[in-house]
Amino acid sequence: MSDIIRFQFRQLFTKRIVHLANLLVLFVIFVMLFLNGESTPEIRDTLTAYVPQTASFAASIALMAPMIMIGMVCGDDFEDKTINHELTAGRSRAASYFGRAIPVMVTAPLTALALLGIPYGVYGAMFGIGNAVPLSNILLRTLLMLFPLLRLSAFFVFLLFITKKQLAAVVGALGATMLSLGMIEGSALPFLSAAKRIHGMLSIPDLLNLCTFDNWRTYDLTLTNYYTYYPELHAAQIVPVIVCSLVMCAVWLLLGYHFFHVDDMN
Amino acid sequence: MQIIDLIAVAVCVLGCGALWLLAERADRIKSTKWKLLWLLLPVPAFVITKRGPDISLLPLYLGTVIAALGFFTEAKPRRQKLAAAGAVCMLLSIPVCFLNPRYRAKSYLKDFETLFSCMREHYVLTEHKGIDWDALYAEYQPQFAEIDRTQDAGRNALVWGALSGEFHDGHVGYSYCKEDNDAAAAAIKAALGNDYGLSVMHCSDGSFAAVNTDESLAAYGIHNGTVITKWDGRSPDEVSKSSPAYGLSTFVADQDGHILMHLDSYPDIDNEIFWSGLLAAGVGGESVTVTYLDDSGAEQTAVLPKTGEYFERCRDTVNTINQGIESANLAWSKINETTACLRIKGMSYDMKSYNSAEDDAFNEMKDELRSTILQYQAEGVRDVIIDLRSNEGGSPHMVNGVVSMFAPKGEYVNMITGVWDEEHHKWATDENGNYIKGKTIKFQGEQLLGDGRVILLVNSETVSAGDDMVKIMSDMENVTILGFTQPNGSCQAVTFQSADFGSLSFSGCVTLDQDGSIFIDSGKDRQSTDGDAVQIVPFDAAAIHALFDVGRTDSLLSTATKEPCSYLVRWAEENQCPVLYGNRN
Repeated sequence: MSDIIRFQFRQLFTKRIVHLANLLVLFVIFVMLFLNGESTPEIRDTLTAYVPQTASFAASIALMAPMIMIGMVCGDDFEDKTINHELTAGRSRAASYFGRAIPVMVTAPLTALALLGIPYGVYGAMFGIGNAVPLSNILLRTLLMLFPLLRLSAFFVFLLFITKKQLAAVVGALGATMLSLGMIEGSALPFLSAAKRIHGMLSIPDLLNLCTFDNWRTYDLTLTNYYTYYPELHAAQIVPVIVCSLVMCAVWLLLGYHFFHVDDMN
Repeated sequence: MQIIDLIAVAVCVLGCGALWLLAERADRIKSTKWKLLWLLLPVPAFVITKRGPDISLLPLYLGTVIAALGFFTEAKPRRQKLAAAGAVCMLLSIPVCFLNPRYRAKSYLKDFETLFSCMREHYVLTEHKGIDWDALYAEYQPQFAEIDRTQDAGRNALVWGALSGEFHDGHVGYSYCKEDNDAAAAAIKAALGNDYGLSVMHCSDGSFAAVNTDESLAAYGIHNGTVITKWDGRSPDEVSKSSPAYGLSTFVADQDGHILMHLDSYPDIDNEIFWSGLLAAGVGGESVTVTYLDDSGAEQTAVLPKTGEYFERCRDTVNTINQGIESANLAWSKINETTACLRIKGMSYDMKSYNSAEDDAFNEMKDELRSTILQYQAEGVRDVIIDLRSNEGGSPHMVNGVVSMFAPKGEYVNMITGVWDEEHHKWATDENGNYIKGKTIKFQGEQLLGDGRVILLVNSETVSAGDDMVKIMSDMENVTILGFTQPNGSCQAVTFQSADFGSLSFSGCVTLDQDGSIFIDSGKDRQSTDGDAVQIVPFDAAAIHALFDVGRTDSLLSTATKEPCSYLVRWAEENQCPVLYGNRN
């Protein structure tokens, strides 16, 4: 299995389409962060003041690249029959499955975080860090985002192994981004609103909650907004996010493997 | 049990039935694709909901997981057993929901803690009004704990109304969630009490009079204007204070959320006195003993039976007295040859200008106003009435735009904003605890009317930016302000905080007068600073007759175009109000 894993990593690092997708997403986030900053003067120009205003949008966009990456690794090998050849060559289904699942489960969440971190890092270097919220809190939230991203990646692995089509990853990535952006605006679907209140219920609301800083807003008569943030994370939020993410991650991987294990490869 | 949850259970049980049948088919036609159908069952269990998962529905969720285990097996009997076991487990959620008193419980106490702590931290009038937060917490926390235990949505609205009322601030108010609308409305209506066929109002001479009387009271000799001396043996204003609705700052909304009536705790004590008889007329049991003066002046007593809820009559009384032209915001109507009326129900023109603080943001509105005024002037109009009654407030920059049309030429200061202390996340104060003055909001007067006059009509629901407009126009020599009452007296800018089942608005943005004092809002003495210039129109027998007997002449714009638009204007005309009608040829 290790050689399959190695090959998948090499594929992820060398395929142009993967880099192109990542660069495109990075470009969109850069444009969003920097143009948004110019057009809305009420947003303060330090990093810690800017992250709470924009992190949800940026995270929604950043979701796309790793999902497409999973499509490249898992879906492409079904379409060009690589997996069929592997199996006929005597590889076990477990090796084929986990040889793909493990690399993308490692790479996709880290890529998503990198796509978020690079633009904000540049922004911080240009405009300063500030102290609207503690930087340590932002870093902690960033680390915690790994868990819902893992869960989401596992779901996409499952999705790819049952559909066997790259298109499913593209559609799924777009769907996840649209869902995420829709939830930022306030979803009309009651179960999604509930999912934002109940930590650990769904991965995307968990991700958005980690990007959302409780705040109170006031303003002066020149309509300049002033925010007071309450960024503290409590165990009641952290524990369900971690536990549910890991459990559901295992569930999706197990379901995916069980399906693939007995699936007809024609 | 809520219908939506029953539907979720029913759909999932039917889903189990479908899986039972599918197990048969999947056994005959072999394909791994069938397996995926077993994973679909949890979806409706979580998606068919109004408020998300509930612990009482745990058997439903477990049932879907049990049925979904059919994914891992190909054996028909096992799949059918799992589907049956799942269905049974799901059905267990029905008795659990019925038996669990915390089924779909709302976290009223948590909401209180969230909203109270936010307001405590950010309310800008704490010192000015002398708010004792510890005392308020000690008084109200146990009440919300009890509400949380009993899940009484109506009581939640009442207690929030009472807590909001403690501040005597028109900007403090709790908005309950739509789901609680009916219970809240029923509770507030019940608090208003019973209908005995009349409302009672405090008159300018200090007496109390029957108003909005039912025809059936004619048998007792009680009609609009009859002096009421006692209500169940006590003075009406004293009785009012025993009403459960006394001191509430809340509202009654219909099923669609449209506000039917506001209840106020009156920032300005003079306004409270004006309305001090209103709630008395709802206080009593199956009947009340009313003592009154008959037309000969002799004291009489009548026992009036309860005829229903007081809410509708109370609301009608308030609406009749408050009036205000029913027309679109910023709509004009011609009152007579020399007078036109501009109705301003709220200080907003459009979203773009509302969200801007630029000097030219309201230029489009000003151009429209200017052209209309000039057009009226060409037709011979000299004076303008601005109907601000029940103006709900909005943008102070729009106030600048409107007032600049009428203000004598020169520069005026509207108000001064506070200074935000970014380090400590609060409005900056000096060593004496007074707010530090920030930017000044100014405007230029155009005096479009020349020597024409402006008359403002106000009532106790003219609030916020409505208050602001009254305040800045009260010093202008070409302006008269008329009302049965002063405006509301609340002019700090409003901020909001949301919780799970409601939201709270409160004064969270400082506005200051030119001397650095709090702008308009009443303090510990409950005297706001925008009421002194109001020419109070006597609420007397003549007013009561005009309002409740002759008819509510300004309830329709069509009527307003034919005759003076309100009792206030008629009064000004009949009494040769020196500012509007004096010294005219």
